[in-house]
Amino acid sequence: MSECIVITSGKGGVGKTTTTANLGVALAQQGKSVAVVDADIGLRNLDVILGLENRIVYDLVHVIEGECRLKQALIKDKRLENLCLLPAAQTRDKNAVTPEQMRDLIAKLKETHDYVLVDCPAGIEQGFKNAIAGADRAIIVTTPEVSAIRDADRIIGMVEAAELPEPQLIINRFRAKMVQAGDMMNKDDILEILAIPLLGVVPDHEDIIVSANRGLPVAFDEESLVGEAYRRIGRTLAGEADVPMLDLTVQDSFWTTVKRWMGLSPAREVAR
Amino acid sequence: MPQPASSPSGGIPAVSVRPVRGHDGTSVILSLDAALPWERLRDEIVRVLGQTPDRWRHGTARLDLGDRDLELFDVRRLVHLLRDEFSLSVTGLYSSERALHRYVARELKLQVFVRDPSGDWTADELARVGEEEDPTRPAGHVDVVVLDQVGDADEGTGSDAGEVTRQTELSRPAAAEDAETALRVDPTAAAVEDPSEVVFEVPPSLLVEPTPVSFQGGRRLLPVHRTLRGGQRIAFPGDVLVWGDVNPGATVEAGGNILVLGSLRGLAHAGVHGDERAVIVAFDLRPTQLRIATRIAFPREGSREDGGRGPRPFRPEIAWVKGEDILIEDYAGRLPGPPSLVVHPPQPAAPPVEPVEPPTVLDHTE
Repeated sequence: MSECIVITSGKGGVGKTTTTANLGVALAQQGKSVAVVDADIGLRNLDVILGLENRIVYDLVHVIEGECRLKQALIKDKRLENLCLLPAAQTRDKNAVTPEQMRDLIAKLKETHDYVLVDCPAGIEQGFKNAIAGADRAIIVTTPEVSAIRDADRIIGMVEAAELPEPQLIINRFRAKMVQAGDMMNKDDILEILAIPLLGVVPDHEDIIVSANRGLPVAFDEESLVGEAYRRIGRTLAGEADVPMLDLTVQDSFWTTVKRWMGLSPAREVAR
Repeated sequence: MPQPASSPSGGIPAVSVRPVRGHDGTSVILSLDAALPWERLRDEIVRVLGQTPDRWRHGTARLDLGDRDLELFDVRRLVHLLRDEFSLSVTGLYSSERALHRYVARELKLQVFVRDPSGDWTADELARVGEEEDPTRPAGHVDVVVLDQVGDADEGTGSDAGEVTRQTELSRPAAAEDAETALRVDPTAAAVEDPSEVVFEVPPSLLVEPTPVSFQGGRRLLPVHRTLRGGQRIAFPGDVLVWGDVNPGATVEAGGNILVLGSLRGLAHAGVHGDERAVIVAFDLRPTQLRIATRIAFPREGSREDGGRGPRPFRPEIAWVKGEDILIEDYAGRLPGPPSLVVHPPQPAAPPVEPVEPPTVLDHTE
């Protein structure tokens, strides 16, 4: 049973593309055959994050306009045999494709892949409508910022209006230290407003930037905490029950603990 | 088992009841005299069904309106009467095609054309707007043919249908000939494929109106069983009750009061037509903005709902107009001042703030 999942957020820059690439890798590592589709026509990025930029010959618009076969446009990942990318066109815009064409394309991809992950462009216009057209369900990516949450809320409403099942949430760029200091919204604040199931929390880390520049998704990195967060989300997505969430609370250093014993340091606030 | 009831004027049954086997237990078809005024008809129904009230309880009914003009308001009253008095839910209507044509002609103010046997379209004269009675047809005419077809359409009720037909013939001897006359005079019945019978199978829920709080002054309640997310908007002339949250960026506008059984974090505008006695009640009131009639209130700086720190007590609060200001208080289960949940007409002095929205608009402005 194959499934098409759209990764969307409304707001730009919250990590949709990074999330799509890493979930694609995480699912493929579990032996699933995965196709990631870049629906951000005109501003393609997914190929860069995956490090497949220089292999593009045909793209999504070529397939839809019948200039090549679907199989010719799919780019196989260098590291994982069962992961492939359908890149977006860089020279066209969102109006080059209609939702009906996307639906047909996704249906074809689902015949040959277990998972089809669609990277949705920012915004609520044509590009969004194209991206959700063939989707079976949606994952909403947000960061712990008021503006990102506002947009996520709006997008959830539109996903519901498109009669997709209740979407799931990934909180990206989470900084445990700031939350513990009360400077960042915590998980429960966000869930109270958005009121959808939480799929996972991904910590903010410079690994992400390094991996994006190298074109090597962080989910390949066994050492990275961020990579581990994505791998756990991938396990949950693949149907594994009760995958424990990462413990992101910041551990006190030895000296802070000693100081607290001696009453020199204030008692640690429990992260709300 | 037909139970004819004599109308007070003569030996003609105003209401006949025909039980049929439904998929879900008791089901009856109520045939109504087309000539009787609705008030008399209603009394007759109460009298006839009242003879054996327990027999119909929790069953379903279909109304056979014959050639009676469809008046949506009357049909609805009848549906409510059957539901409230006899626990009968109405699931369908039988009506003659001409009555339907007349209804369409009246409601849409358009002439109805039907295809005659030669295939040409001709105006259905009987469906004229402001129709006069056809002199060749006696008042209260019922097509016997039609009733027969109704019976045949019902599985396993052949004998019942026969009885009813006979009943009609007996009680109204002229009816059979009239039916033929009508067919001859009016070629449409023979020409159209589904002859002269239109059945609406409507789930009972569609015939029932939104839960009314009070019929006085037309004040109604719109229950919204969902969370309103950013960009979504509800506008309703009466009171609005939200079972869920109103998130930032969502808007609720009500001619009357707004009640939110959850967190109100978006914009709420009560009394949009200028009613200053309208109130806004929420289990958790931390809006981006509140409006009552022509007044606007903003929350204090720094009390922003999701950037704010520290736990906030979760308690119901009420917003209402006192003097010049919108006052927000703990809601202790009582309304301040004169109760506003009771109907009060819009105050003519205050001009409407915004044009009245059509009821129940849920849109995604894109």
